[in-house]
Amino acid sequence: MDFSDIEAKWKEHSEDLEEQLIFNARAVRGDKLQQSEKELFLPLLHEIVNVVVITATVIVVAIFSLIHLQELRYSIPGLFGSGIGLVYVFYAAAKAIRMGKVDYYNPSIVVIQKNIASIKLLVLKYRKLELALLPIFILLISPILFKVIQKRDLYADLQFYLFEVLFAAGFGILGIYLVNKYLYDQRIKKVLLFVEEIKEFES
Amino acid sequence: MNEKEFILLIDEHKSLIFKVCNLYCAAAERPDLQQEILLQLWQSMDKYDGRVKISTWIYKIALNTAVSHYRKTSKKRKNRAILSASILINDSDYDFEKDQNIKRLYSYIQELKVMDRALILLYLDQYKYEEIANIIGISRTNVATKLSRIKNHLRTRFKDVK
Repeated sequence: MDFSDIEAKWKEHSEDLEEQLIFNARAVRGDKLQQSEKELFLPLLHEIVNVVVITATVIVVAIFSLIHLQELRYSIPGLFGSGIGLVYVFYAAAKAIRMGKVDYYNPSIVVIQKNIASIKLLVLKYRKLELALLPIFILLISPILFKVIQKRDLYADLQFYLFEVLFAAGFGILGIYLVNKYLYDQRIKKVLLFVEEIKEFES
Repeated sequence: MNEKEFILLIDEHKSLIFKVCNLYCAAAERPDLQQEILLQLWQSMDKYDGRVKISTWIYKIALNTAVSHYRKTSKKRKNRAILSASILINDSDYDFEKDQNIKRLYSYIQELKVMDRALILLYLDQYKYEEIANIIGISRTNVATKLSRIKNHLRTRFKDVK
Protein backbone atom coordinates (compact mmCIF):
# COMPACT_ATOMS: atom_id res chain seq x y z
CA MET A 1 0.00 0.00 0.00
CA ASP A 2 1.44 3.34 -1.02
CA PHE A 3 1.30 6.27 1.32
CA SER A 4 -0.99 8.19 -1.02
CA ASP A 5 -3.50 5.33 -0.59
CA ILE A 6 -3.21 5.66 3.17
CA GLU A 7 -3.86 9.40 2.89
CA ALA A 8 -6.90 8.79 0.67
CA LYS A 9 -8.28 6.24 3.15
CA TRP A 10 -7.78 8.69 5.98
CA LYS A 11 -9.63 11.40 4.07
CA GLU A 12 -12.52 9.00 3.51
CA HIS A 13 -12.48 8.10 7.20
CA SER A 14 -12.58 11.80 8.15
CA GLU A 15 -15.59 12.37 5.91
CA ASP A 16 -17.28 9.32 7.45
CA LEU A 17 -16.72 10.76 10.90
CA GLU A 18 -18.15 14.12 9.88
CA GLU A 19 -21.31 12.44 8.62
CA GLN A 20 -21.88 9.76 11.21
CA LEU A 21 -20.46 10.97 14.48
CA ILE A 22 -22.88 12.65 16.85
CA PHE A 23 -21.89 15.18 19.47
CA ASN A 24 -23.91 14.56 22.59
CA ALA A 25 -24.61 18.19 23.46
CA ARG A 26 -27.05 17.20 26.21
CA ALA A 27 -24.14 15.76 28.20
CA VAL A 28 -22.55 19.17 28.56
CA ARG A 29 -25.61 21.37 29.04
CA GLY A 30 -26.76 22.79 32.37
CA ASP A 31 -24.17 23.82 34.89
CA LYS A 32 -21.73 21.04 34.03
CA LEU A 33 -19.31 23.25 32.17
CA GLN A 34 -19.25 25.72 35.05
CA GLN A 35 -18.54 22.86 37.44
CA SER A 36 -15.52 21.94 35.35
CA GLU A 37 -13.87 25.27 36.06
CA LYS A 38 -13.90 24.54 39.77
CA GLU A 39 -12.45 21.12 39.05
CA LEU A 40 -9.54 22.50 37.06
CA PHE A 41 -8.92 25.16 39.70
CA LEU A 42 -8.52 22.62 42.54
CA PRO A 43 -4.73 22.02 42.45
CA LEU A 44 -4.12 25.76 42.55
CA LEU A 45 -6.70 26.18 45.31
CA HIS A 46 -4.95 23.46 47.32
CA GLU A 47 -1.70 25.42 47.28
CA ILE A 48 -3.47 28.69 48.13
CA VAL A 49 -5.15 27.02 51.13
CA ASN A 50 -1.73 25.68 52.14
CA VAL A 51 -0.24 29.18 52.06
CA VAL A 52 -3.08 30.58 54.21
CA VAL A 53 -3.15 27.75 56.78
CA ILE A 54 0.61 27.50 57.20
CA THR A 55 1.02 31.27 57.36
CA ALA A 56 -1.57 31.37 60.15
CA THR A 57 0.29 28.59 62.01
CA VAL A 58 3.62 30.36 61.58
CA ILE A 59 2.17 33.63 62.87
CA VAL A 60 0.58 31.95 65.91
CA VAL A 61 3.77 30.05 66.81
CA ALA A 62 5.93 33.14 66.26
CA ILE A 63 3.65 35.29 68.48
CA PHE A 64 3.62 32.64 71.22
CA SER A 65 7.41 32.39 71.00
CA LEU A 66 7.85 36.13 71.20
CA ILE A 67 5.50 36.37 74.20
CA HIS A 68 7.65 33.76 75.95
CA LEU A 69 10.92 35.10 74.60
CA GLN A 70 12.56 34.99 78.04
CA GLU A 71 11.96 31.26 78.31
CA LEU A 72 14.52 30.22 75.75
CA ARG A 73 13.69 26.51 75.80
CA TYR A 74 10.26 27.36 74.42
CA SER A 75 10.93 30.42 72.33
CA ILE A 76 14.03 29.24 70.43
CA PRO A 77 12.49 25.96 69.12
CA GLY A 78 9.29 27.92 68.44
CA LEU A 79 11.14 30.50 66.36
CA PHE A 80 13.08 27.81 64.48
CA GLY A 81 9.78 26.04 63.87
CA SER A 82 8.34 29.28 62.48
CA GLY A 83 11.37 29.45 60.17
CA ILE A 84 10.61 25.98 58.86
CA GLY A 85 6.98 27.00 58.51
CA LEU A 86 8.12 29.90 56.35
CA VAL A 87 9.92 27.42 54.09
CA TYR A 88 6.58 25.62 53.68
CA VAL A 89 4.87 28.92 52.86
CA PHE A 90 7.58 29.73 50.32
CA TYR A 91 7.23 26.33 48.63
CA ALA A 92 3.44 26.49 48.51
CA ALA A 93 3.50 30.07 47.18
CA ALA A 94 6.14 29.19 44.56
CA LYS A 95 4.02 26.25 43.36
CA ALA A 96 0.84 28.33 43.29
CA ILE A 97 2.55 31.10 41.30
CA ARG A 98 4.05 28.63 38.80
CA MET A 99 0.71 26.85 38.39
CA GLY A 100 -1.20 30.09 38.00
CA LYS A 101 1.28 31.57 35.51
CA VAL A 102 1.63 28.71 33.06
CA ASP A 103 0.02 29.28 29.67
CA TYR A 104 -1.45 25.95 28.69
CA TYR A 105 -2.95 27.14 25.46
CA ASN A 106 -0.86 29.49 23.34
CA PRO A 107 2.72 28.16 23.11
CA SER A 108 3.64 25.12 21.02
CA ILE A 109 2.96 21.57 22.25
CA VAL A 110 6.62 20.93 23.06
CA VAL A 111 6.87 24.12 25.15
CA ILE A 112 3.62 23.40 26.99
CA GLN A 113 4.59 19.82 27.73
CA LYS A 114 7.99 21.02 28.98
CA ASN A 115 6.29 23.58 31.25
CA ILE A 116 3.89 20.99 32.62
CA ALA A 117 6.75 18.55 33.20
CA SER A 118 8.87 21.18 34.97
CA ILE A 119 5.98 22.17 37.24
CA LYS A 120 5.29 18.54 38.10
CA LEU A 121 8.95 18.06 38.84
CA LEU A 122 9.03 21.14 41.05
CA VAL A 123 5.90 20.04 42.93
CA LEU A 124 7.32 16.56 43.50
CA LYS A 125 10.74 17.81 44.59
CA TYR A 126 9.22 20.34 46.98
CA ARG A 127 6.90 17.72 48.37
CA LYS A 128 9.88 15.55 49.21
CA LEU A 129 11.47 18.39 51.15
CA GLU A 130 8.18 19.26 52.80
CA LEU A 131 7.80 15.69 53.99
CA ALA A 132 11.37 15.57 55.26
CA LEU A 133 10.85 18.77 57.25
CA LEU A 134 7.49 17.70 58.68
CA PRO A 135 8.71 15.75 61.76
CA ILE A 136 11.23 18.49 62.63
CA PHE A 137 8.50 21.10 62.30
CA ILE A 138 6.21 19.19 64.66
CA LEU A 139 8.97 18.64 67.19
CA LEU A 140 10.00 22.27 67.27
CA ILE A 141 6.58 23.82 67.57
CA SER A 142 5.16 21.29 70.07
CA PRO A 143 6.67 22.67 73.33
CA ILE A 144 5.45 26.22 72.79
CA LEU A 145 2.01 25.15 71.52
CA PHE A 146 1.47 22.71 74.39
CA LYS A 147 2.61 25.34 76.86
CA VAL A 148 0.26 28.07 75.64
CA ILE A 149 -2.76 26.05 74.52
CA GLN A 150 -2.77 23.15 76.99
CA LYS A 151 -0.75 24.79 79.76
CA ARG A 152 1.38 21.66 79.66
CA ASP A 153 5.13 21.71 80.05
CA LEU A 154 6.46 19.05 77.72
CA TYR A 155 9.95 19.34 79.23
CA ALA A 156 8.52 18.46 82.64
CA ASP A 157 6.71 15.47 81.19
CA LEU A 158 9.55 13.92 79.25
CA GLN A 159 7.79 10.60 78.84
CA PHE A 160 4.90 12.25 77.05
CA TYR A 161 7.28 14.44 75.04
CA LEU A 162 9.32 11.40 74.08
CA PHE A 163 6.14 9.59 73.05
CA GLU A 164 5.07 12.58 71.00
CA VAL A 165 8.54 12.81 69.42
CA LEU A 166 8.59 9.12 68.57
CA PHE A 167 5.03 9.17 67.30
CA ALA A 168 5.52 12.25 65.12
CA ALA A 169 8.94 11.22 63.84
CA GLY A 170 7.95 7.59 63.31
CA PHE A 171 4.76 8.52 61.58
CA GLY A 172 6.52 11.16 59.52
CA ILE A 173 9.39 8.92 58.47
CA LEU A 174 7.07 6.05 57.59
CA GLY A 175 4.94 8.48 55.60
CA ILE A 176 7.97 9.89 53.79
CA TYR A 177 9.24 6.40 52.99
CA LEU A 178 5.92 5.15 51.66
CA VAL A 179 5.00 8.31 49.79
CA ASN A 180 8.43 8.53 48.19
CA LYS A 181 8.61 4.88 47.30
CA TYR A 182 5.17 4.53 45.80
CA LEU A 183 4.34 7.99 44.66
CA TYR A 184 7.03 10.54 44.09
CA ASP A 185 10.13 8.64 43.02
CA GLN A 186 8.25 6.74 40.34
CA ARG A 187 6.50 9.90 39.19
CA ILE A 188 9.73 11.90 39.07
CA LYS A 189 11.27 9.09 37.05
CA LYS A 190 8.34 9.21 34.62
CA VAL A 191 8.45 12.99 34.27
CA LEU A 192 12.21 12.90 33.70
CA LEU A 193 11.78 10.20 31.08
CA PHE A 194 9.22 12.36 29.34
CA VAL A 195 11.50 15.40 29.43
CA GLU A 196 14.21 13.22 27.86
CA GLU A 197 11.73 12.04 25.25
CA ILE A 198 10.87 15.64 24.36
CA LYS A 199 14.57 16.55 24.13
CA GLU A 200 15.16 13.57 21.88
CA PHE A 201 12.10 14.49 19.82
CA GLU A 202 13.35 18.05 19.33
CA SER A 203 16.78 16.96 18.11
CA MET B 1 -18.29 32.72 24.05
CA ASN B 2 -21.53 31.41 25.50
CA GLU B 3 -22.50 27.80 26.04
CA LYS B 4 -24.56 27.60 22.86
CA GLU B 5 -21.72 28.88 20.67
CA PHE B 6 -19.30 26.55 22.40
CA ILE B 7 -21.51 23.54 21.74
CA LEU B 8 -21.75 24.52 18.06
CA LEU B 9 -17.99 24.86 17.84
CA ILE B 10 -17.41 21.44 19.37
CA ASP B 11 -19.99 19.96 17.04
CA GLU B 12 -18.04 21.33 14.07
CA HIS B 13 -14.78 19.82 15.34
CA LYS B 14 -16.05 16.56 16.80
CA SER B 15 -14.16 14.36 14.34
CA LEU B 16 -10.88 16.00 15.32
CA ILE B 17 -11.51 15.18 18.99
CA PHE B 18 -12.53 11.65 18.07
CA LYS B 19 -9.30 11.05 16.13
CA VAL B 20 -7.07 12.43 18.86
CA CYS B 21 -8.79 10.29 21.49
CA ASN B 22 -8.53 7.20 19.32
CA LEU B 23 -4.80 7.63 18.96
CA TYR B 24 -3.96 8.36 22.58
CA CYS B 25 -5.93 5.88 24.62
CA ALA B 26 -7.69 2.55 24.71
CA ALA B 27 -11.41 2.36 23.89
CA ALA B 28 -12.45 2.15 27.54
CA GLU B 29 -10.69 5.39 28.40
CA ARG B 30 -11.84 7.43 25.40
CA PRO B 31 -14.96 8.97 26.97
CA ASP B 32 -12.76 10.15 29.84
CA LEU B 33 -10.25 11.80 27.50
CA GLN B 34 -13.06 13.30 25.38
CA GLN B 35 -14.44 14.86 28.52
CA GLU B 36 -11.06 16.18 29.59
CA ILE B 37 -10.46 17.77 26.19
CA LEU B 38 -13.89 19.35 26.27
CA LEU B 39 -13.29 20.80 29.73
CA GLN B 40 -9.90 22.18 28.72
CA LEU B 41 -11.45 23.78 25.65
CA TRP B 42 -14.25 25.34 27.70
CA GLN B 43 -11.76 26.56 30.29
CA SER B 44 -9.52 28.19 27.69
CA MET B 45 -12.00 29.59 25.18
CA ASP B 46 -11.53 33.17 26.39
CA LYS B 47 -7.78 32.88 25.72
CA TYR B 48 -8.29 32.36 21.99
CA ASP B 49 -7.02 35.51 20.28
CA GLY B 50 -7.70 34.66 16.63
CA ARG B 51 -4.03 34.57 15.56
CA VAL B 52 -4.40 31.02 14.28
CA LYS B 53 -7.32 29.14 12.77
CA ILE B 54 -9.74 27.95 15.43
CA SER B 55 -9.31 24.35 14.24
CA THR B 56 -5.52 24.62 14.70
CA TRP B 57 -6.02 25.96 18.18
CA ILE B 58 -8.49 23.22 19.09
CA TYR B 59 -6.04 20.66 17.72
CA LYS B 60 -3.29 22.04 19.91
CA ILE B 61 -5.37 21.89 23.07
CA ALA B 62 -6.72 18.45 22.23
CA LEU B 63 -3.22 17.10 21.59
CA ASN B 64 -1.77 18.70 24.71
CA THR B 65 -4.56 17.28 26.83
CA ALA B 66 -4.14 13.87 25.23
CA VAL B 67 -0.36 13.81 25.79
CA SER B 68 -0.80 14.85 29.43
CA HIS B 69 -3.67 12.41 29.91
CA TYR B 70 -1.53 9.62 28.48
CA ARG B 71 1.00 10.17 31.25
CA LYS B 72 -1.41 10.36 34.16
CA THR B 73 -1.89 7.41 36.43
CA SER B 74 -5.13 5.56 35.91
CA LYS B 75 -6.07 6.31 39.55
CA LYS B 76 -5.89 10.04 38.88
CA ARG B 77 -7.95 9.67 35.72
CA LYS B 78 -10.74 7.94 37.60
CA ASN B 79 -11.17 10.91 39.90
CA ARG B 80 -12.79 13.01 37.22
CA ALA B 81 -16.42 12.39 36.43
CA ILE B 82 -18.22 15.63 35.84
CA LEU B 83 -20.09 14.57 32.74
CA SER B 84 -21.93 11.32 33.27
CA ALA B 85 -22.47 10.55 29.58
CA SER B 86 -20.06 10.18 26.70
CA ILE B 87 -19.84 13.33 24.57
CA LEU B 88 -19.21 11.62 21.22
CA ILE B 89 -21.66 8.93 20.32
CA ASN B 90 -22.33 6.69 17.40
CA ASP B 91 -26.09 6.48 17.24
CA SER B 92 -26.40 4.41 14.10
CA ASP B 93 -23.92 1.74 15.23
CA TYR B 94 -21.83 2.75 12.27
CA ASP B 95 -18.39 1.13 12.31
CA PHE B 96 -15.85 3.90 11.86
CA GLU B 97 -13.12 1.35 11.49
CA LYS B 98 -15.00 -0.90 9.07
CA ASP B 99 -12.12 -0.47 6.69
CA GLN B 100 -9.39 -2.82 7.89
CA ASN B 101 -6.74 -0.43 6.61
CA ILE B 102 -8.05 2.34 8.86
CA LYS B 103 -8.13 -0.04 11.80
CA ARG B 104 -4.53 -1.00 11.06
CA LEU B 105 -3.49 2.59 10.54
CA TYR B 106 -4.84 3.52 13.99
CA SER B 107 -2.99 0.65 15.61
CA TYR B 108 0.28 1.40 13.76
CA ILE B 109 0.11 5.05 14.75
CA GLN B 110 -0.51 3.97 18.34
CA GLU B 111 2.83 2.13 18.20
CA LEU B 112 4.62 5.43 17.60
CA LYS B 113 6.08 7.67 20.31
CA VAL B 114 3.66 10.12 21.91
CA MET B 115 4.81 13.22 20.03
CA ASP B 116 5.21 11.38 16.71
CA ARG B 117 1.52 10.48 16.86
CA ALA B 118 0.64 14.17 16.95
CA LEU B 119 2.90 14.81 13.94
CA ILE B 120 1.37 12.16 11.70
CA LEU B 121 -2.16 13.02 12.77
CA LEU B 122 -1.68 16.65 11.77
CA TYR B 123 -0.07 15.57 8.50
CA LEU B 124 -2.92 13.19 7.65
CA ASP B 125 -5.38 15.97 8.39
CA GLN B 126 -3.59 18.00 5.71
CA TYR B 127 -1.79 20.53 7.81
CA LYS B 128 1.20 22.11 6.04
CA TYR B 129 4.73 21.49 7.37
CA GLU B 130 4.91 25.13 8.42
CA GLU B 131 1.71 24.81 10.48
CA ILE B 132 2.78 21.50 12.02
CA ALA B 133 6.10 23.06 13.01
CA ASN B 134 4.24 25.89 14.70
CA ILE B 135 1.78 23.68 16.54
CA ILE B 136 4.35 21.16 17.75
CA GLY B 137 7.20 23.61 18.35
CA ILE B 138 10.01 22.15 16.25
CA SER B 139 11.64 23.38 13.04
CA ARG B 140 10.12 22.81 9.59
CA THR B 141 13.14 20.71 8.60
CA ASN B 142 12.71 18.59 11.67
CA VAL B 143 9.04 18.08 10.81
CA ALA B 144 9.98 16.96 7.29
CA THR B 145 12.67 14.55 8.54
CA LYS B 146 10.44 13.04 11.19
CA LEU B 147 7.47 12.71 8.87
CA SER B 148 9.56 10.98 6.25
CA ARG B 149 10.72 8.50 8.91
CA ILE B 150 7.18 7.96 10.22
CA LYS B 151 5.78 7.47 6.73
CA ASN B 152 8.46 4.90 5.97
CA HIS B 153 7.65 3.12 9.20
CA LEU B 154 3.94 3.03 8.38
CA ARG B 155 4.62 1.86 4.83
CA THR B 156 6.76 -0.97 6.17
CA ARG B 157 4.11 -1.96 8.71
CA PHE B 158 1.48 -2.15 5.97
CA LYS B 159 3.85 -4.22 3.82
CA ASP B 160 4.58 -6.59 6.72
CA VAL B 161 0.92 -7.53 6.90
CA LYS B 162 0.71 -8.37 3.22
